[in-house]
Amino acid sequence: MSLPRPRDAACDARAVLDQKPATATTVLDLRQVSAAPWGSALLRDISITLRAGDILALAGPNGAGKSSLLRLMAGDIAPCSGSLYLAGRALRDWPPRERARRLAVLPQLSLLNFPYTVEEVILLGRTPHDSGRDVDRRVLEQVLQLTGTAALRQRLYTQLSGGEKQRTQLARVFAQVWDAQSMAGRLLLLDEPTSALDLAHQQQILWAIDQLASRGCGIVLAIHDLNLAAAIAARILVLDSGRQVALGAPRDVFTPALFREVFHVDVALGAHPQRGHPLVIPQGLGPR
Amino acid sequence: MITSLASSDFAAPGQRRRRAHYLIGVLCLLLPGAMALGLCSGAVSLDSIEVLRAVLRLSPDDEYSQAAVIIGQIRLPRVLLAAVMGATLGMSGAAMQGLFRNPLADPSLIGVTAGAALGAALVIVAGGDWLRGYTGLSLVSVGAFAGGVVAVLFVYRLATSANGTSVATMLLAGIAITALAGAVGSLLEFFADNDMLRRISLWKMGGLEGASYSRLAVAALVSGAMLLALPRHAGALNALLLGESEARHLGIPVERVKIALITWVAVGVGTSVAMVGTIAFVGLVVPHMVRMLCGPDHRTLLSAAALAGALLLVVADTLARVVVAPTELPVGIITAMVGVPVFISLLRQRHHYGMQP
Repeated sequence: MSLPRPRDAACDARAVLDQKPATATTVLDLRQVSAAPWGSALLRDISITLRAGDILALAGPNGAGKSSLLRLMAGDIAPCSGSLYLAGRALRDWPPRERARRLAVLPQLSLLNFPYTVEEVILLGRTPHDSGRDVDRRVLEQVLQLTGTAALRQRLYTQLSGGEKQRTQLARVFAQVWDAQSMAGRLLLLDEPTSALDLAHQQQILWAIDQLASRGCGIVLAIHDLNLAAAIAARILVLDSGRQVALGAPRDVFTPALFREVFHVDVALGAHPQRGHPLVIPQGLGPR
Repeated sequence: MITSLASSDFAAPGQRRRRAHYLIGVLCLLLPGAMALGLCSGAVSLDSIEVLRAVLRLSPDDEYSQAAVIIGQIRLPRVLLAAVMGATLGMSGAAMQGLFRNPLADPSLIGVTAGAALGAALVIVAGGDWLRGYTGLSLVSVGAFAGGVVAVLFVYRLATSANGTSVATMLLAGIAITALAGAVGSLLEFFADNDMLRRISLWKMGGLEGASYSRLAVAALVSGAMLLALPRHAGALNALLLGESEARHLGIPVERVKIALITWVAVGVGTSVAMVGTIAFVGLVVPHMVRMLCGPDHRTLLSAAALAGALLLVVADTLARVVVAPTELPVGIITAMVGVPVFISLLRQRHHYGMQP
């Protein structure tokens, strides 16, 4: 993770910018970050500032770089140019344990095949903390409620359905950044957090994510369902072939032209009858 | 080991935690019982009072009685060595299964056992008639230890690139190195004479008949260090079961933990192969059985696997001495014969437990 990467032609030789990040409430600050972990450029010139309580959705077609951008923000991929700050400090300068108390990552798929109980999996999220047994138990109870996993608590992880596993993993990363008072300065990176969930649980998880944001946690999520993205995120970053094509509020970003150019589909755009955020309605079936 | 039991009372919730502590308690009671039984039984059967007198040396003439000689010179070091080596193999197996995230992994996967067998065979064949008696035995042990450590270094280097060590590559490299060591070993056997062949094959079967206080001291020192060191990585092993990048996101210095685990297992298992030969099955079956009984939490699993490994090897060695007394069976045969039925009966109940192999 902190290994030096060879510089290469895909990345211009611009020196890493060493400016101070914007303000104290900034959770995450990317300045013209590019990454080329396997030779060719995966991400180019990404610039985002995320403040405490912000929710940012990453959208884009398959292979656009959503997961790569999340891995970059998580420190799994090193940038080859540009600078990357977590809570005012360059990401690579954080000691691993301290960083883990502020930054939690939900991977797209989980390989756990040992028979932990749901509670044990969630408590693994407390690994970087020395908060003690009582605090950890309280956090456990709260995230169990928040993710609707309380009924599963004694079940074995290996026997859960896909959606139940996803909620358990979500509860684990919630527990990792949880703080009863304030989660300002903490960051949650979620890769497809609702992909395996039924309609009711999608709503519950979106609500839970919103709860964390309202306590000050910064949240970045990669999500394919654009209607869910528009429902939860204040801003949407659209990626195409590793480039940042649009960044802004859903109603500004979602235009028929964008869908034609980036997603190669024709869509009708509506508005949610109660909440007003845009709704994306694809125009029928058939080849593009 | 025992201190780690006491310090592991962090809150993994519910019943399983209690069951794990219950299991550790039961094992702590059974192990001394099995060791006492091991002291009493053998080619010459001794009753518990004779054994007690010999161990405690109540009166001066006890020191030279037949019982005292049998206990003091033969059985006591042997039973203790069995306990120490069993604990080493059990805990190593648990650590390797955690590191490889595979409940069917085994300490020999990283090449240490095959390398040690080759090292021993090399010394036996190269030494020829010159290797007799006690020094010969020690030299073979040194050869085995060196062979095991060299094999692990090889496997580790093969699996390490600029991006870190891949445990999947390591598993494959371990298989390759094991096959290579086996081939070279067979080549050596091809050129060995009858006496060497018999010694190689006896050595491979494993046994505790070479136990002495000096060997026990070396084994206890190395294994003691390992038994104290590995439980410190229990939290990291728990996080590693989620996956390597997940563990990294939980703040675990994954590469450092990997190196520490592999080093301790190589040293521990290398020592055990050097002292008592290859004893199959303890490192594979014991952690698996313990996990089935009380879950995969390494904070209890490591200690319980060490105790259970010690128990299994002490019992197996006692059986090896009494089944065909006055001669002995190789202990590896017994560990397999005791371990496999228990393992199979647990496998058949697997649906109660949700273990996916």
